Amino acid sequence: MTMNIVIADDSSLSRRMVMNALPPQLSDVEITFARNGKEAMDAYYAGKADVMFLDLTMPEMDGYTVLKKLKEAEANTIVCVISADIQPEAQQRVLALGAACFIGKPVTTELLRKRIHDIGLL
Amino acid sequence: MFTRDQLDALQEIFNIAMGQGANRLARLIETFVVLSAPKLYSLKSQADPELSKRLGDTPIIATRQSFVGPLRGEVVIFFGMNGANELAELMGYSQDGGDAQRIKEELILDVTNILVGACITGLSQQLNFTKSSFSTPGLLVEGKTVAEALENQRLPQDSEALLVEIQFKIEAHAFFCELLICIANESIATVVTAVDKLLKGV
Repeated sequence: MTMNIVIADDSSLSRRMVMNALPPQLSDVEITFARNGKEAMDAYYAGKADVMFLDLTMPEMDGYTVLKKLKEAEANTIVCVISADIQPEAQQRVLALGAACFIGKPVTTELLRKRIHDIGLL
Repeated sequence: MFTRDQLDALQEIFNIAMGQGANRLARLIETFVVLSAPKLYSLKSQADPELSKRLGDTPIIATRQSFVGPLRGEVVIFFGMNGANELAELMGYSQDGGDAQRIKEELILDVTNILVGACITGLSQQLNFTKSSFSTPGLLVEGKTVAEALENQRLPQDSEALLVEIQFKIEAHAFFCELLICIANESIATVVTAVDKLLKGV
């Protein structure tokens, strides 16, 4: 079954880095890019968000708001937050809002694949 | 000066660097720091009208710190006028007494040191440069507008400027600051080459 993945980040460099770091075992995937939280939520409403790689600091709608909206909607989306904001409290806040994991930027292929394995996507 | 892709990459690099800066600042003041998404503007000079347009004409406190090494330049940080008071309050210093002004200045300069260090070190690490050395941070002006602050502070003729508009906010407080990063032309070429290499590898 196709896995719908959203990569939400305002940086095109980061979006590409995350896409390239996805493990080759995840072959049957459909990737949607979102440049802000609003586009990420649009992807969710369109049924395209089984998994979401989510940045926190984005224009228009930030990652915290996306997490709150997904929580309110009781969404089944598995969210992996990838953020430059590495304050321990930021990590606690996103986990409390339902994120499955947190990865501090700059993201490495090795770490991303480990987290994907840890949260059971493989 | 920079292409759109290069600016996007630099914006993300500064985002990561400033995340480290926010983490250090949060540890200093023992309070969660809210980071905004950074915006990057390429400026022709410190006198670029875009700068005053972006930062407005409200009174500010400005500090400066220069760096040398593979990257050479200077960072100017603009704080809101209440920034020093907010920091002093957060850290439990009394706003009264003869030492109050000195303590506030020291706090602003400490924060300057943290943010400039995080910003330039983060940039250097991500672009694989060796470490830069830093001057002691200094107070540029207090209670003047951005235009007034930079009136007599022209960039050296061989420099370009990047305005990194990033807000560090402290919840329930009025503290904020913005950074102006001035990079010498010789270093700009080095940065462009490194960013292109990074982009090519992705």
